[in-house]
Amino acid sequence: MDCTTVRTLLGFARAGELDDAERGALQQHLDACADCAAHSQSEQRFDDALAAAMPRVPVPSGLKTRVLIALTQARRPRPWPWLAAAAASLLAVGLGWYLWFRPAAELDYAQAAWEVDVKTAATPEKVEELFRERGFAIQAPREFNFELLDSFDDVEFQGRRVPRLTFLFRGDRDNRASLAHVYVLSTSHFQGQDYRESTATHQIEVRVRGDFIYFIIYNGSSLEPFLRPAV
Amino acid sequence: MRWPGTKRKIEQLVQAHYAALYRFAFRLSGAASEAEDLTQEAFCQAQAKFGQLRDVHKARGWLFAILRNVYLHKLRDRKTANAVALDDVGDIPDRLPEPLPDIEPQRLQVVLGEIPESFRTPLILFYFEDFSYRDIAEQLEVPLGTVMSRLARAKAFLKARLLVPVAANAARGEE
Repeated sequence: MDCTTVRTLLGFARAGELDDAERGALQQHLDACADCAAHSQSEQRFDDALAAAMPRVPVPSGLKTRVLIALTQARRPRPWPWLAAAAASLLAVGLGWYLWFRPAAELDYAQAAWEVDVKTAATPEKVEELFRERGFAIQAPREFNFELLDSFDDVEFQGRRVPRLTFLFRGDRDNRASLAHVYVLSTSHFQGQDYRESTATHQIEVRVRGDFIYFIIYNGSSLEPFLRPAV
Repeated sequence: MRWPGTKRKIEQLVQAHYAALYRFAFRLSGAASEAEDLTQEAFCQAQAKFGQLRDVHKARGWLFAILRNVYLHKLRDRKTANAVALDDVGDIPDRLPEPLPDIEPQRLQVVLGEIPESFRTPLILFYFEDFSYRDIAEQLEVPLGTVMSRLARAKAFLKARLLVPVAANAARGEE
């Protein structure tokens, strides 16, 4: 084995790629050749110096924690921004299409006429019919003058939806204009008895009639202008 | 796809390998901030494709391979080419000075930065993480002979850049 071959084999020896026979032959040459032995030792010292220097890299403090945080963040399900954008675009296109091509609303002549009829010629029966259609079985306060009925609706009252009738008295020579709200309450939902109370700004009156309680709040000095004229 | 128990296993890998991976990244990139980015990115990719790790005993090599790929990807994006040709080494004395001086880690980093990545990576893996030639060949997907050739040339370059001035001075002192 010559010196050139030995220098080549030294590399294979470091890689652990020599078999027993090759390692034996190499060692035999190194024992006999001072130059190759010195070369081999020099290479080994350089390898050791490099191996010592290579890992001398300070690791920043907190790196492990930051890596673990990055992993946690990476595990979170990512929103699909493209999907959201596509959905928004689709919605915008659809909305535009609808607004542009939506069919014109058909006029409901009967409904409009009925509402005018109720306003102009309201009767207790018509009001009861309207509330029945809305799911309220009521008895209208027949002592009120329905010619003064201004509006009616179901409203929130102490935690329940209840019918409310509003009467408007426009005043005359002796009385100023005044307003009366009549809440029609079922005795199955509310308890009460006839009652009157006056304050500086309004009057409260409770009238119990059969299955219904009329809770009346009005301004003015008397409820009299809102009631039907006595026959 | 994420596998059952991945979270615990990947955290075990972090515990075992984060420091080595960071040092490898630093030697590859030469900058602390980039090394930290590379380390985090490598672990995130490892988590995402944890199912590909079939043998847990090969986790270290697998992680290093992922980090190197992340680094190469960034390198391609930057399109930097500041490495020198390894043939421009000059004469290297057959015998190195006695005693051999310590290799200063920062000086080593400067010289490593001058070596093309395909030569630098096997050098780091061999000396730093004690990977065998076969491990390196497998990781870089090159023949064993190529690994040996690249290592020999990279090592010669390092000798020339790190030790020749010392050797020359020592020789002058002897005269």
